[in-house]
Amino acid sequence: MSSALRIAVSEEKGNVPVTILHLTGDLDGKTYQELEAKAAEIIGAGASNLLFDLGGVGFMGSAGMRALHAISNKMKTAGPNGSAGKMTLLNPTDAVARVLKTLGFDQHFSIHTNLEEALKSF
Amino acid sequence: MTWPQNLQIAADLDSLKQARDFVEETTQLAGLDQDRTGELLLAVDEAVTNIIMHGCPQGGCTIELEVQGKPDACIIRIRDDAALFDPTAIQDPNLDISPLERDAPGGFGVYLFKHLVDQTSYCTTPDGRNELTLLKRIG
Repeated sequence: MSSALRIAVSEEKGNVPVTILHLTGDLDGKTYQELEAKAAEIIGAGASNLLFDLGGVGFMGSAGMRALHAISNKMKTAGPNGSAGKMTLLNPTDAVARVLKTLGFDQHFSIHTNLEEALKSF
Repeated sequence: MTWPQNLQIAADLDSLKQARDFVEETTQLAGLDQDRTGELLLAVDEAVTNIIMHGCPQGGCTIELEVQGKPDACIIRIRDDAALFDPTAIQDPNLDISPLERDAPGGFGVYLFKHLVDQTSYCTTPDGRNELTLLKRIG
């Protein structure tokens, strides 16, 4: 029995193009590198606005936080000409919110519970 | 329900979900509410992940989980035959500075399990294994 994570990717054209990563499953020590790898691939292809839809994450441990932190570091130079890109979190479940809050990351990430508002924030 | 309930797993990241499912099922039967179960689940996942990733990265170790339901608390003992290590002696990271300002992600696992339960203690068993005890009060 192993934990599983599924990552679906979509694009939204608003004021700016936003790449949405829809996460479903568990974000733990087994799967966090899959998220890091997928985000690195997307950033490497030129995306500089990332929205992480966490509404389907049933469990997240500090490894998941580690992945989001590492992606946040990558986003510091993901914009045009090495400028900063932007990442936002959408719909954190209780399991995600617990880790964000306990570690104090909830004060430092942009977090939304409504897709339209999240897209407008870019 | 008879106590304690036990589960033995291989120290492998593939076993994490099985450990979480076991803890969720048994601690809810012990009377923990959903929030406290979620906190304990996270604490156990962090402790077990640490054993797997840092105590026994080469594999081949075994982890035993024991859940003991009491009228006022749920006690989980985690025993493993990985390298001897007392995680309760690790200093907390400084959370006063923005965590996003840190260059190196990670390092929060021990902090999480220490702060999500009401008591933690560590000892070595008579047969030379690590034993970490986590206590979560009910209500």
